[in-house]
Amino acid sequence: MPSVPSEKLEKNQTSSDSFVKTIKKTSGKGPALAKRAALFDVSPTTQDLIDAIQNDNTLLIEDTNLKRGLLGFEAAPGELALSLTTLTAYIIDIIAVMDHFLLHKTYLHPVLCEQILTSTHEVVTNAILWSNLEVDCPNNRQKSLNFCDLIKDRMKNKILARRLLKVNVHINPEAVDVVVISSGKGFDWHQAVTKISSDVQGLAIIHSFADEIIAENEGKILKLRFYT
Amino acid sequence: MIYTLKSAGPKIEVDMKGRLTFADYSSFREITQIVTDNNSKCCLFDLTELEFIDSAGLGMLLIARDKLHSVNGNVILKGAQGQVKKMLDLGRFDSLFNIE
Repeated sequence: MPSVPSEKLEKNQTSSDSFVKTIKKTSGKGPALAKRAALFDVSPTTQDLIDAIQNDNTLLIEDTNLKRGLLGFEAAPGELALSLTTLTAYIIDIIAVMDHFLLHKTYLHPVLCEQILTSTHEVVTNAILWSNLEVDCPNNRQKSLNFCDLIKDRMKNKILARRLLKVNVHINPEAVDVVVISSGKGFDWHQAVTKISSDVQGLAIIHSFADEIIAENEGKILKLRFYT
Repeated sequence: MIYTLKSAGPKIEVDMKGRLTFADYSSFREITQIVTDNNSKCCLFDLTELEFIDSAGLGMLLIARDKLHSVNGNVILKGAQGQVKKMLDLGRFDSLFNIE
């Protein structure tokens, strides 16, 4: 029913006949950094990513549609590292992937997991829309209903659609660190924070749940910390 | 998000299932179109099976509210629980909507 690109549509676009997944062990720099990467010949689906986490303890996942090889975004044991194109990040259900990771690979309290998921989703949404797709914020609510058309239009631009989005989740004994890296124009975090109004905004939600928020590199890097 | 239209007319009832996020603007636009086509004065959203909502999803509910208010109608939210309930509380939606 949704007219936004679906996983099925994406598979068809990339020829489902040649849909092949490979799991490749990358060269580690030592036991602590030994890691496994899931490399996908076409854009992975949500289930692909969940399977990779479930079956292989594979926490470094890269969308090889990028044709760039590994990008030095390394995942140590206990980390989740997603490296995806904007298009893939939009199509897949990142919340489902993260939910699976937090549920099966950590022992975090369910309430904390919920707060991490909710906040990270908001950050990822900001990264996709405002940074990578360079969409302007609609000036009224009714206009936002046409967002789907604008997003589809922007996705037709291959440069924007292939921009990278990285999500890293690292579990420390005392905290959970989430880092979201976009590769677009960034996001003026400080200006946005001053505009938080009575309307429910993503930034207000992030502020409610995250214990620490750090924006770097013109808002292209956003770090969240949640104390356990 | 998958929605099911349970009844249409002056009062429409919509069941929502799954996750209501920024990827669902298209689906939600369909719902608002149904409201327009039926000249509805009341819209009941059953959120019992809705597992997750983000700020965009909350915004969509506010859009429905604005639309119904413009014809002196109202929106009823029913059955929210878990993360969805917490998000409605965070947005103080109890002061904006009829909540069952």
